[in-house]
Amino acid sequence: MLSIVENEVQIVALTLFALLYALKLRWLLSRPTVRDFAHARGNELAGVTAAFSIMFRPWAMLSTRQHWPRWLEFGLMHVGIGTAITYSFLIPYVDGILKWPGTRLAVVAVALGFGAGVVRLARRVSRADVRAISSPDDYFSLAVVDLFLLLGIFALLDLYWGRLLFFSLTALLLVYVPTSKISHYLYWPFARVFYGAYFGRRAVVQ
Amino acid sequence: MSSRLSVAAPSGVSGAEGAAGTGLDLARARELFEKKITRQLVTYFHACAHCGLCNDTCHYYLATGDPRMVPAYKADRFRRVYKRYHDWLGRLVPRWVGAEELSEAVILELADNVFGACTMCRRCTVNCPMGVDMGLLARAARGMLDALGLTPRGLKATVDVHLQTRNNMGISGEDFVDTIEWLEEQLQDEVGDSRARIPLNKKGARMLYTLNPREPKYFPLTILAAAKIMYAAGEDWTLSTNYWDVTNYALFSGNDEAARTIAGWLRDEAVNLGVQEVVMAECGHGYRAFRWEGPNWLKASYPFRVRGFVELMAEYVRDGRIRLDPARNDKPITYHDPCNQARSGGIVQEPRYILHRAAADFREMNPHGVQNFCCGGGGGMLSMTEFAERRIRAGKVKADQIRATGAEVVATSCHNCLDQLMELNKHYKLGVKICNLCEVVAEALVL
Repeated sequence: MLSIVENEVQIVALTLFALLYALKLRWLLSRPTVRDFAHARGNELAGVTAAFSIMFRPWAMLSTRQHWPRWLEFGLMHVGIGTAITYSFLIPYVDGILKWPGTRLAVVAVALGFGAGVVRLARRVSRADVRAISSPDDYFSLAVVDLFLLLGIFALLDLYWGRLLFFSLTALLLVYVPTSKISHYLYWPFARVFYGAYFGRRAVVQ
Repeated sequence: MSSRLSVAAPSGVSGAEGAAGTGLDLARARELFEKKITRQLVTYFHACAHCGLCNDTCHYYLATGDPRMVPAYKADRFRRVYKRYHDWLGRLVPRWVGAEELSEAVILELADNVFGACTMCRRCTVNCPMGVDMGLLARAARGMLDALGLTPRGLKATVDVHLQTRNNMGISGEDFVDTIEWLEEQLQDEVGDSRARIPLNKKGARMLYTLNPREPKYFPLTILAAAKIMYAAGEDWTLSTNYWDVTNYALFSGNDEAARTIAGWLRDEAVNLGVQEVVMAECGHGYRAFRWEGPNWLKASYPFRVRGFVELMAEYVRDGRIRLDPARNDKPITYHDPCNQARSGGIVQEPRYILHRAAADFREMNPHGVQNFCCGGGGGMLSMTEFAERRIRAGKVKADQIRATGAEVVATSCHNCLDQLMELNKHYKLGVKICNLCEVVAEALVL
């Protein structure tokens, strides 16, 4: 059972995931883009570079400078997610990965990510300004990712039921993610390029 | 403020007499909406993760605490329509992702939001971890609404007058020339040189200088200040009687066709006079519209350079073409960065370079530069009188910023900002003098 969930089910889900993303990209790339004819004042490439690196430089943006705990939550949660996703590939294909000492560190990363995710969910529920911009998808996406991280901890601790539930949820998430707000990360590189090129050219972001 | 957000709100929206039964052509609205969807817009529609970091970047939200003033909420008024037609879950289970069908109520609420509660200042944009360009979204929405006849009357009238008379205040050619000739006499008196000129239509001049219609109409001394600076610098410049207006309110209405026509007039006049450079008078949106957006509306780069007067003044100082005595501006002075120059144009260092040399006690607002707060007068807001109460209320953030500096003089480089700051000065009893930057420079000139 576990073997099927960790292998065949994941492959089917991943294929669907890739197909859905391909369709999303096709739609995005089918739309006309805006060309900038104005003579540059700054440097587009410098703007794009700055735009991509800004997530690693919380001091570079006033909002993250003022709300640095939020940036920390963001960082912890995304590192946790990245770690859990990486292990969803490693566990089925790398024998003994869960016995490797480095996995203990991974458990901590996923646990911290889970904690950050819970804080974020609590904020979304408790604050009127954040509730105002939240749809059911926003709540559900955050809750399901928190659950994914929680189950990730159990999977990394090599608990049988933990692995079974973690990989079952992973398969479901692979199909849900491209249709939900979680897919925002697919657009992140595009957003960064557009933002960086636009404001870099104007010497606003350098 | 909240009552204006209801469906019945856009009482001041032209063509929308009453909320219900306005006869909006929803099929046309949908068609216009689809035409607006560029790759950038698709990206920004999807990229917002609703994290809420933009909340306190917006002066409307900070001044009111109303969650409906959160930038992401305002952008969602447009985004929800996109989701209804182009998002898988939005098509299947609209409520799950907050998607909404295009309806009269949705359109009218959108109009109230993008015209009456967003100055397109982009402070939220530069503070968004994803870089969602709310200014771009708001302008695209305004463009769609404009085509539906939903632009607020005052804003629409400003664009219409511009298209009819080639300047946005309908100033006649005779009045314009009379004013300039009178100012030329004033200039000669001030500098004590009967050869001092304000050149008109000088072919082959190095530079064409543009004016905001508010200058010949209400603030002629600003033109005098600029002329004095250019006299001191020995500039080879000219004004044009054929086309001289720096403004382009179609940037605010979102009407690309009108924007293209207006930008084209200035481009053609610069080519006709054979100048090497067009210098935009101190007007934030005018600078942005012609310097940055004009080439895109016209789909071609200009065969000349375009700069803001602030940039040129900074160059004069740096090159020693004008000399300044800061002691002549001895009162504490602060500077308000116009959003369209700083955040959408990168002009941040130049005004500071000038003020450190033209004034004895220059004090920064906190925050300033790219992070400066909008005064509330952006986005064409001053032309939309129906939103005046909201505009003044949102301007409290700026008023508090000014008060905190202890400055007695506030300089800026934008006529819309100037007008808004004057209103804030009166409303919030700031007791400061508001002026253009070139007036500070002219005062400090050593001739």
